[in-house]
Amino acid sequence: MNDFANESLSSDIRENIQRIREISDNGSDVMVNEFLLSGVPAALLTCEGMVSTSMITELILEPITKVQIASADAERVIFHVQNRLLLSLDRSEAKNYRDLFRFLNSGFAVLLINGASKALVYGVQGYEKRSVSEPSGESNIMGSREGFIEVVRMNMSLVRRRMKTPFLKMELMPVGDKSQTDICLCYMYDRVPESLVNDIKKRLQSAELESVLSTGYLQPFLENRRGCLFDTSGTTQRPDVLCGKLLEGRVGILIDGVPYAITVPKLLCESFQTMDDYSFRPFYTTCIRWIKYLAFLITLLLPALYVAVSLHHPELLNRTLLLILAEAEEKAPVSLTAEAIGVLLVYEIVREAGLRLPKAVGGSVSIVAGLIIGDAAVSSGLISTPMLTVTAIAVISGFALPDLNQPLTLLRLGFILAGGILGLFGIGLLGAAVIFNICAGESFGTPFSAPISPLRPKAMRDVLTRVSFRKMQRGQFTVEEYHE
Amino acid sequence: MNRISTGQLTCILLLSNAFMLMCISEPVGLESMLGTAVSFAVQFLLCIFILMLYKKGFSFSALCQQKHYIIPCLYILYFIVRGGYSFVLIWNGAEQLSLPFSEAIVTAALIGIVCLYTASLGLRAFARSSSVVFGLLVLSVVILLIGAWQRIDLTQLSLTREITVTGSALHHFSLADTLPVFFVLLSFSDISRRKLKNTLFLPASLILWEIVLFLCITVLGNLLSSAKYPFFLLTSVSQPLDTQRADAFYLITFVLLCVIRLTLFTVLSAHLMGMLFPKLKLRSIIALLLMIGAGAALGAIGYSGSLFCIAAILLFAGAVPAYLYFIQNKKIPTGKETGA
Repeated sequence: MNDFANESLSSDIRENIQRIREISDNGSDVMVNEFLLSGVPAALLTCEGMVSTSMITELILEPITKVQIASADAERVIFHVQNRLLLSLDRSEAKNYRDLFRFLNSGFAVLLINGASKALVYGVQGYEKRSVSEPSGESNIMGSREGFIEVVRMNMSLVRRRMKTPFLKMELMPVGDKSQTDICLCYMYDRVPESLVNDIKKRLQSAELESVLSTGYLQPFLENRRGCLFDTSGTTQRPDVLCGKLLEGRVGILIDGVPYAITVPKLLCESFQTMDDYSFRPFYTTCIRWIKYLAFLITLLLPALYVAVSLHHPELLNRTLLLILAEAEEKAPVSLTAEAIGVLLVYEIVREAGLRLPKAVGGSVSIVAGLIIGDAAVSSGLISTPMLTVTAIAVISGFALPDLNQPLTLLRLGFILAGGILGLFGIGLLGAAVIFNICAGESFGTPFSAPISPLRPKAMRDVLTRVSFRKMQRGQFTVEEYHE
Repeated sequence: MNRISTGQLTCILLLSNAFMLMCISEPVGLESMLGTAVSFAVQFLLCIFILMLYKKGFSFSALCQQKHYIIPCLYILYFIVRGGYSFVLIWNGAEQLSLPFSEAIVTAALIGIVCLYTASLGLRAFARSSSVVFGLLVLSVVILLIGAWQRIDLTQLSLTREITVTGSALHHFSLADTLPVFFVLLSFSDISRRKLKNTLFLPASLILWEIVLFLCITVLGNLLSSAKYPFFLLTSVSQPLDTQRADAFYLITFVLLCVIRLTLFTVLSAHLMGMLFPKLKLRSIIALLLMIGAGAALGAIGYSGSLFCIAAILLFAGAVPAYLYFIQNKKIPTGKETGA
């Protein structure tokens, strides 16, 4: 059945319709409307629910049924329809069944004319879609409230509205053997090297995927090294963020059916930047950014340091703190390491339950977990209060960096284990491995750890600080400058 | 291509020197500061000689292509012995790390596993990581300075009878194992290879050494005579906060320096092995196992040989480059000629 891919259309309309019915196995959603077009047998094919009935009636059916050509044959009819009637702005041709089905199932109306071995296709999509709304993640105070939706063409327009320059290039291409998902490559062709774009295209085209249902399907093909703990390709739900990244010489990938855009190359420092950083005053943003760096260290290391110091280096604690901890841990029935890991695992379970359950129930999960289990566990002495406090601070600090949630969750557990078993020595060893892991990350030749290592002092104006736009407007730079 | 920048080269060598600084276990005095300065001056002269050789277009890959196998072999041996000696230093200083176990082999195995991973990521990742660890080292020194500032007693800064400038210079020179590393690492540095700024690690290291030695003398004072590891005693005494100790930070920095130093020797040994035996697999594992073996052997015989170290450094950073320099135009093709 799959051998139709490169099979050309016949000039006999009966044969074509028969073959279409065979390939679709008489599927109910393929609608075939046969009629005479100026005396020539023709058929208009559409996919149920994918086209706008009013649009197809107004733009195609009405004008096309009025066509009257003297001594009509296939060639003359096609010439007339193609050159005298506009019908739709989005027009193309299909010469084989693969293209025909891709257009048909994307909401195009397909016009077959007897005697022509090609089909004319017209974009009259009218399927239901979610309206543009505020994205669920990446919330901000001062920026736009628009987020990407599931329709790639709408997302393209959201980007284009913000970037009217002709240097912004958008290229559509299908990916996925079965899904034939439209993906759109967006980039500023004056800022992105051609080799990078070609490399991305090559990788996407070489992906032997059946479908592309989320960003995670494509990301592995855009990342260079296996074993990297952090994503070396970014995602965003916000068109304004995507535009900012495009201006810095990155390439964006919009996927039909997914309200996220992928951006490459990605740097670690991007995870600490938000759209609001560029709306607030620079000194405040700089302060917030440093708080985020601190939050990164706290969420990663605080529980591990607590466990390591309490278990292996109590001499490092001051007397008051030592007495508080000793008193609290005296009653705890399990070791500090087990306690820390247990609390974090319970938190992860609660988080996952809150995410997957319906929103109405999800809220109650948090209440049950936070108030009932937490309070009961401390009262019963199963968990000590300092441990719960330390874990809560670490988890809350992690909320400041939602982009890094996945690696931080795993690393936090890893550091607790290392600290619990080997003390500060273990934390140091694991820390070294993590630093190397981050520094080994590359995205299309751009180091993930840039601009910190390799050091690019010029870029520090938006990493260690956030200078004002008066200064930032001078000396534009692109991520290509980090390329090694 | 594994290429490293001048800044990264400086960071790598400075961190290696900093590790040796943390491990010093000899008496420290004003003479040590002077001796260290003399030692760095001698090292600088040797570095100029190495740079002159590279100016002629020398490269290790070209050397191997011409089947001059003995010299790379000798360097591999040197790196393995120095890597092994680093293990000995770590084992000796293990009590400062408050490890939950006493077996040296467990420490070696744990560090070995991490180094195996870090070495497997390549020279470029290593160079980038060194820059990050360098940042942590600078932060450590700043915290140390803040903590020590109130406790500095300049009256302690006087000459002692037990230490001589010559002895200190020789002792410090015996620790200068970064010179042969510098010689080999320059092969992987394509930017401004011939320029003097590649020796920036020497003044940077000198400043670091002098700061720490100065603090040891002026802060520790009479405590120095009983200090097994002056640096760690200094960090214990110099606390920036009254209510909370900051030793954890220095310990973590020390572990990071251990990993950087051992990874450096592993990466270089494995790289040279790769040049000599391109089909040889698991080169990093072989290099690390040899280092652990060498460390065990050196530990068993109670090796501390300063004289041997001085001789080795003079051979690998002086005699060999001199030999290569003089035969350069006759036998060994340049990197440019071979395209290396």
